[in-house]
Amino acid sequence: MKWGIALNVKDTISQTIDKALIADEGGIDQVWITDFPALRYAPTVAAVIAEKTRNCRIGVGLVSPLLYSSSHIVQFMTTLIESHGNRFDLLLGPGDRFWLERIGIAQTPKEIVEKNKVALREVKSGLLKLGHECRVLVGAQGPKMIEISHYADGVLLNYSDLEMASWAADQLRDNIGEDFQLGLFPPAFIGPCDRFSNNLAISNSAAMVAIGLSRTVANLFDLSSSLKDARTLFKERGKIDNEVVAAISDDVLKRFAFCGTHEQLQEYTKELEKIGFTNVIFGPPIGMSKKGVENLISAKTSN
Amino acid sequence: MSSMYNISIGITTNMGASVTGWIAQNADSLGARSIWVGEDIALGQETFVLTANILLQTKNVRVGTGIIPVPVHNIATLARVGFALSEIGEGRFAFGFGIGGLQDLERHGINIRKPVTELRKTIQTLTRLWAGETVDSESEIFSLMNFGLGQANPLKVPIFLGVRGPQMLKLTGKIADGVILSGPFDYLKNAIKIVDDATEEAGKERSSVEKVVWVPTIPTFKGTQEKVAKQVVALVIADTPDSVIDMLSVDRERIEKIRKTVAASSPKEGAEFVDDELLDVFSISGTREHMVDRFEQLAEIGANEVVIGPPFSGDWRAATTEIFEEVNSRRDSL
Repeated sequence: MKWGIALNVKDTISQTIDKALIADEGGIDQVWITDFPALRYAPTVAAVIAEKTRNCRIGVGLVSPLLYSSSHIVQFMTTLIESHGNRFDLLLGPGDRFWLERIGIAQTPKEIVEKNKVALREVKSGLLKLGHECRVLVGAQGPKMIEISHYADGVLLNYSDLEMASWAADQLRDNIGEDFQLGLFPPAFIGPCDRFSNNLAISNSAAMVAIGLSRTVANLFDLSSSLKDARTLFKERGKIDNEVVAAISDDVLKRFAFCGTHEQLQEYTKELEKIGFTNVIFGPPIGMSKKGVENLISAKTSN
Repeated sequence: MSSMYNISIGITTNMGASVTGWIAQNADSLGARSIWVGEDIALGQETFVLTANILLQTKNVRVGTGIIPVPVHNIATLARVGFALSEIGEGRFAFGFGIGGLQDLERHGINIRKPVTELRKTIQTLTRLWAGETVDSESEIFSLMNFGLGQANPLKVPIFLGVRGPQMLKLTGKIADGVILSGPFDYLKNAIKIVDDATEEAGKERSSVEKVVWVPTIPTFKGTQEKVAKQVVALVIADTPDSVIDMLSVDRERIEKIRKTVAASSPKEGAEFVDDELLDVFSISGTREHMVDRFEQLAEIGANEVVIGPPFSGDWRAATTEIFEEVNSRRDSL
């Protein structure tokens, strides 16, 4: 199983370089450079990381086709590949709806799925036409996005809980080829997790995913009523704060992140492999500190 | 004696990586002040990745976009690009903006009714975002609501505007750190005066707004034939608005003939009507000595920086190197 880590959330570029170097030298397979609403434009950060690292693959994304045209996406991936080699993957997906609305991009869920579907086709064929080896993955959570990921080279499912991850993987299993990258993108923290909600970093990240959960999936896993109060508060405030997090019980929050020791992480990845996952990209907060990156390396190398 | 000025190199995104790579690798040693990257909309290398690559390959030169047509990018993207490239460049990045060619924009489905207002709003909004403000702002092309970058420290990005008309030039004098100008000598003289006057009106020193001049530079002493230079000039004449032509004492009939021929067939045919006088008005071409003489004339009218730009043809690497050597040797002899 390939291990990756998401960087460029809030760091300066020099901090991202430091962490990417630690990850690269420590044997992490993929470094993903997040884009909007991250402060720094991902393709330029990816160029720097490619210049400084040697072995890891570099993922650009999640990149939203609502923010960039397909031709622009093909153009920046092409420039990266032609200047730094075939080391890049791309993750397409809708992106954070609330942040996109703030910058004047508001579309209906149906339009969003359609735009992603069209962009996926255009970007893949654009890169193929130019002869570039760049895997195009889809970031998915709800059934519609999972469905369109059949057309991609892989998927990163925004789940943590093994039961939900297994359900999401089942939606794809019959329609994917052998080379398809079945990936998971859980918020992650390695350390003591007895009092989950006291760990602000991981509980905030978990709450963000939980609140964004599609209604279909929430109903399927009987989570709608557990998330209702937090969703209402979030809508009022437009951000995740302590009260929004507190409106979700610890038991529910824990289903939206990995939080545990090195040993528990090893067990977790073994279970993911059994389900059929080929890669796991650990999302914030783990990449927000050097210690987090080092912990991930320790967990991987002692695997 | 000539005024002091810098020499820079201009490239565009539609150039091959071997050309842009050579320029990035040699700009420092040649003694260039800047490398300016012009965006050919949706063509060639992606502007911001190319700019990042050049910043990574250089140590001393300033690297700027020259220019980005603002309507083709989301303003939040421009704000985030400013952050990323400023950090990559550690103080060597300059953000050059413009509205872009209106016809070019129309081809991409973008119509701007009030370009001056649009550019002013864009610059003011970006400046506020970089200062750390949370912004509500709307224009013809963008809409921000309760949006901020959330950074710990304010950022100051040097802003250059690539503009032409008098209202745009005045705006530049008031709100920008520099201007990127292009056009015939008499136009440039007038444009620099408008920028300087507006700068003073805004209560700033004239020198606080840098004047960068980027006109076609076509050395004909290293393999580039004069007919190539004439083709470039025919194209430039076809693109130059009447308001600029009106400022020049040139054969108007000849100008119209060139415009019609370029529109009806191609710059190659239009080049037949470009004489030596027009060649000299609309480009800097000829021997290296003649070209550097012309650079000095631009410095005399207030240009701080002259850009050697495309087309790069013939043995352009040797020609570029010799031009820098000529400039440096004249400086040494002062």
